[in-house]
This record gives sequence, C-alpha cells and structure tokens, in this order.
Amino acid sequence: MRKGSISSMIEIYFGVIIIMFLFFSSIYFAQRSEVNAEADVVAVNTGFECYNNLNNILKSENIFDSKTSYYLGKSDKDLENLESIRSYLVNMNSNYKLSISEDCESYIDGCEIEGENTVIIGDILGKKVDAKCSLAITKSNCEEDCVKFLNMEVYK
Amino acid sequence: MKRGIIILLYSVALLGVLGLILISTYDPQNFTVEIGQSQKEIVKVTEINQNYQNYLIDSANFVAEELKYVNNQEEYKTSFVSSFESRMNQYPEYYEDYLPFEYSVYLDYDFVFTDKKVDITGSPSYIIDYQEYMANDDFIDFEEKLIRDYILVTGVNSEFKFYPYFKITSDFALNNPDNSE
Repeated sequence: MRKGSISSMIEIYFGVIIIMFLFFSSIYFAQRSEVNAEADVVAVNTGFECYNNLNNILKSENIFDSKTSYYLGKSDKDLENLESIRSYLVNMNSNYKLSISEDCESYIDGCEIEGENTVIIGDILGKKVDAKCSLAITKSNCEEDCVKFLNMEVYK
Repeated sequence: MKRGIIILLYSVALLGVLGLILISTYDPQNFTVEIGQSQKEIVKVTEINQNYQNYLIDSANFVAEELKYVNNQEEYKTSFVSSFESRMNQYPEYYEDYLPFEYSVYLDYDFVFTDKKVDITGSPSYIIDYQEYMANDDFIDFEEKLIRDYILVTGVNSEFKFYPYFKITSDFALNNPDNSE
C-alpha cells in the first residue's frame, strides 16, 4: 500500500454506506414528494351567463313589439335600440356592456366591443371582464353583407 | 490515492444530486389543473346553435317579406331558395373545423300556396349514409341508409349533430303599392 492511498476495505465500507444512504434517502424523499405535491384546480368560466343572457335578449318579444333579433335586423338605429334594451334590463343585478357591430374578427372568442353603438348596464367601474360573447343577427335589407353582431361583456 | 479521490468525488457528486432531490421535494413545483373545458365547449355550441336556428327563422321571414309582391309561384320558390341560402351562407364560421353552411347541409323546401298566403317549411334533406359491417370473416360490406342531413360541429372533446329547421307563414301575391293605381 502506497503512502497516502486508502485501503480497499475502507473504500468498500465507505461506498456501501454511501449507496445505502442514497438508497434509503431516495425512498424517503420519493414518498415525501408525493405528500408535498400541490395542484391548483381552477374551474374554467363556461360563459353560460353571457351566452344565455344574449340568447334570451334576442328571443325576447317583450323588449320591442316583435322578437328582438327580428326588430334589430329591420332597424338601423342601433344605439337607440340598445338604449331600449338597457331600459328593459336596468333592474337586473348584473353588470354588462352591450354593443352592436357590423364586423367581428373572431366570432368564436367574441367580437371586440368598441365604437359608438355601446351601452353599459349596471356598474362596471373597477370591475374586470369575466366573459364576453357575440351572437349573429341577420339584416332585413341587404345584398351581400347581411350579418351584424350583438356583443356582450360580463363584468365582475 | 487516485482511486480514493475518485470515489470521494463520486460520492460528493451523488450527494449533490441527492441534495437537489431534497430541495425539489421540500419546495415542490405547483401546477394548475383546469376543469370544465368540455362544459365550456358544450355551452358555447349549444348557445350558438340556438342562435343559428334563430338566424335561420329570421332569414326565412325577411326573404318571405321581400317576396310578398311576387305573383308567380315558381318564381317565388326559386327566388326564396336563392335568397335564403345566400343569407345563410353568410353566417359566420363558429368552429375552426366547421364548414360554412354552404353545401354542408341541404334543406328540402316545401311551399303550400293558399289565397294570398304561403306556408314554407325547410328541413334537412335526406342523404345517403353508408354504414360498414362485416359480411363474413374477410369481407366488409356497406349498407346504404337514408338519413336527415345535419351540421356536424367537432370540438376538442366532443361532436355535435345539429338539424336546422324552419316553418313560417307569409303573405303572397299582394298588390305592390308602387304599381297600384
């Protein structure tokens, strides 16, 4: 045995201890990791409130003297009609933004609410958009561009 | 001496790895699980299908309104179908893999003319559907079956069949105020 070298028995002894330590530690920490695993479960907003309210508005025959979608399709006084819808829904305990638009970039995700033809129902100050949705209306007098959109944003 | 140092260095490295495992287990990674994607999809498709049906009926009523001064029944039928389908083709696509209404579903139209009135019904046409079955051990055969056409909306987790339908009554062959003396 040369000067400064470790004897083979010490190497084996030391190696066995290390391996045993690693082996049992691995089992221990593997169990610990299962116990400590954390997951946040988040329920996705289904958008039911938004779509359901919009469909109810469009099918209602109480806001105007005919079905809302039919009336909105015949009329081009969009802002005036939105005001009528607002006055009908003003007592609802919810906060919405409602608009009528001619264009829509993404019908699936909901059209952007912008422009003059917009009304606010309830109080949206300091609140965030919880859901947005859009539904299509067919226009009475048209050749090619026969669709406009009623859009809603729900604030919470 | 070299062998001893290698073993020691190897042990230290292993202990380092073990230390990393220890740190990761004591400070576990958080992850977020979102639930309700299927419900969201069902809500959206159900509500948009309702709107589609509403759009369909409004379109039929608007077209019938436009044609109330037409006297000729054949002309009325042709104009109605052409105008109505043109409107329906403009309904926005509401699913990524959804084909527009144009030729994705065919409607059969039924016109019943009475005195100054017309009843119009539109319902999905019958189409031939092929169903495969095992005729014998090595042979797959197809059976033809007549079914109603439908719009198939395919989502991430589900498939929906939708059958558009309308039935309206409108004025027909009225005297056009512009032409009346």
